[in-house]
Amino acid sequence: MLRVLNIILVLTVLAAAFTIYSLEHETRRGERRIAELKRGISDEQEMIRLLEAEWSNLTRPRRIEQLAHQHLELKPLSPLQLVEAKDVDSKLPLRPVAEAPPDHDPIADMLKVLQ
Amino acid sequence: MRKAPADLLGLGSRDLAGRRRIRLVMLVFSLIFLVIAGKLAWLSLMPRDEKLPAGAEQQKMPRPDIVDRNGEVLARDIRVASLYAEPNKLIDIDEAVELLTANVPDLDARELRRKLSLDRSFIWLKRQVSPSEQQLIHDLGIPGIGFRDETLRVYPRGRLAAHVLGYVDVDSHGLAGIEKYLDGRGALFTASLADPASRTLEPVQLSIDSRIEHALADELQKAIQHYRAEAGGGVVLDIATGEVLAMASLPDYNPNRPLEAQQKDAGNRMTGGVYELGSVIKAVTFAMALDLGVCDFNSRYDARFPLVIGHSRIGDFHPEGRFLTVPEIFTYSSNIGTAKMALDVGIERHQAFLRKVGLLDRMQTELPEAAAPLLPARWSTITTVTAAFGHGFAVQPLQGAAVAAALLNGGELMTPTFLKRDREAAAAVAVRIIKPETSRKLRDLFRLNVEKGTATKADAPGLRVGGKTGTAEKVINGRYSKNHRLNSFVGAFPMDDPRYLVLLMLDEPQAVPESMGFATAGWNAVPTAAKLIARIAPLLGVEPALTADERDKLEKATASARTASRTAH
Repeated sequence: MLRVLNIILVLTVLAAAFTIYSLEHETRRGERRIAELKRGISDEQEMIRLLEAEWSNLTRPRRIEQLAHQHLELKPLSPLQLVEAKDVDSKLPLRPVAEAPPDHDPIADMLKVLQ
Repeated sequence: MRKAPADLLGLGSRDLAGRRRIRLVMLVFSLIFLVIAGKLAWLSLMPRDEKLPAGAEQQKMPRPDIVDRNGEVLARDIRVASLYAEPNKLIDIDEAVELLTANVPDLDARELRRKLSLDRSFIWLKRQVSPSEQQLIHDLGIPGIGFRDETLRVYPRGRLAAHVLGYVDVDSHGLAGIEKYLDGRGALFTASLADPASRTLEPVQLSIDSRIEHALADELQKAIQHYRAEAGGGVVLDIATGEVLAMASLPDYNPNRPLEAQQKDAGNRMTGGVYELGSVIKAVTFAMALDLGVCDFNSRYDARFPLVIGHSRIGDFHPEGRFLTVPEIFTYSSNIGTAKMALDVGIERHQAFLRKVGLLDRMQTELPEAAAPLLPARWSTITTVTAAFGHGFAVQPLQGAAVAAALLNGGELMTPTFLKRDREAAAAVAVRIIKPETSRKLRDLFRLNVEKGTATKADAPGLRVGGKTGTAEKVINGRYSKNHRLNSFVGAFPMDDPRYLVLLMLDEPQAVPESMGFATAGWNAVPTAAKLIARIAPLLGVEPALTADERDKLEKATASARTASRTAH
């Protein structure tokens, strides 16, 4: 009776030890993975910070201004270009708009060209 | 036959007592195991206490980012590697020196050998190594040589707002500007940005607007070149909140290269230096006299003859030689008239008023560069007379701007700030210095001065600019020099409800062909301000309202510019 109990206990101890060791092993692996991911996140965050700084450097007003001068035909706004809402109908430049033939869809044409 | 074990051990009749003892031991052991099991269960089931180990809190918090009022990054820490050596772990110094100098060209062999021969356990060899160099050195595999991650403070926008930002040393200690503020007087503010739970830092949000800052620096730079001035400075203030939207002082420096900041003349002249602001200060005298009721717009002052006090003669730059009304004194910028107004107020009240508006004390903003005013040792009649038109005492230009803002915003003085703040926070620190009616009168005077006074060239079309010019003679070798001038302009727009104030300063501008030989403020600082205001008004959302006259003029100018460009093509 006592011997049977002892054998059972020994087996239980062995089983428990095995479970615990495998659990611990798994935990270690999990922890390693967490550390890896954390390092990855922090590297990514650092990269984002670096790229944001780079963005700020590339969008500095002096550079944008130079680029705009070179590539765009935009000019500073003149007060003459502002029209109040109530004057819109009288101030709008009247320019003849080329009427498209009725069987023609300009947007469809554009899409065709793009395709 | 088996003998009973008790007999074998000779315990015999004490068998029963032995069993009891064994049972007792078993009980004690199971109790102990139970306690251990209970404690284990407790530890694994109960949530862990989130308190950090003692060492973690001591770890240095990183420097916060600095962003402008729209959230654009102006300063930020990035991670870089630095090369160090542990000399007493080095095996072969010669080999290490040879390998390192062969692969890193900017390491000096002799210096390196000296460092590696020191009897130390740690020494920096090179700070801030590039990633490719780091890989190269790492691959050499020299024992006793290693890398440590360090932070490098970068200012992605370069010179933009350099004097506001300041700079840091190689160990990330702030040495000037906001950077120094964050380490020093503003340490509490810095700490309030930190979130200890997630170990992150909120960025420091400045009141500076990158776009306006650039426009200001750019216009100043052009003006300095055009008028061959020695230096210049400027500030754009939000009148209602006292926020500094832009502040520039030229020559400036690139905070990424702190050595530039130590060059002569690269200091911050807007808060770190004091200047006689000249006639700009007349506005203060007018505010005082009008507020105390000493005079009104219909009062007349005799400006026929120079004012003689003791050995001094006070004359006008453009003598009118007649009685002048108060608005005329302002638009002609008459020294005689202004001095007489100050004398009517009286020496004591004049001094008290200057103290009330803060011109006699050192103004301290967030920036550590805060110069104390230069004041006369004794306050006498002649002091009051010269102080009335801005001579004989020198203050920070930003201080002048703050007072002018108070004169125009309804009479509430607040110390300018470089950190973003709203109207409520500004109202909490505001001090009333003049009555709202007086402020209204000053707005009229400022506008009148642009319509038909010394600052007509400030009239950016449709923006209702108002302003006051100042031309101060610089003190050279203890005497006022007729040829060395400090020209300034302080103006605000739109004058019907002023929202923004501009102060510009040009140091020793020269006459240019179109100014007909004149080099006073009206010919250089003022047109520069007009250009600046026309450029920043759309950014600030100030809507132009053209009068019929202005519309005509502008249409003609646009048309002629168009034909000119057409003929050029």
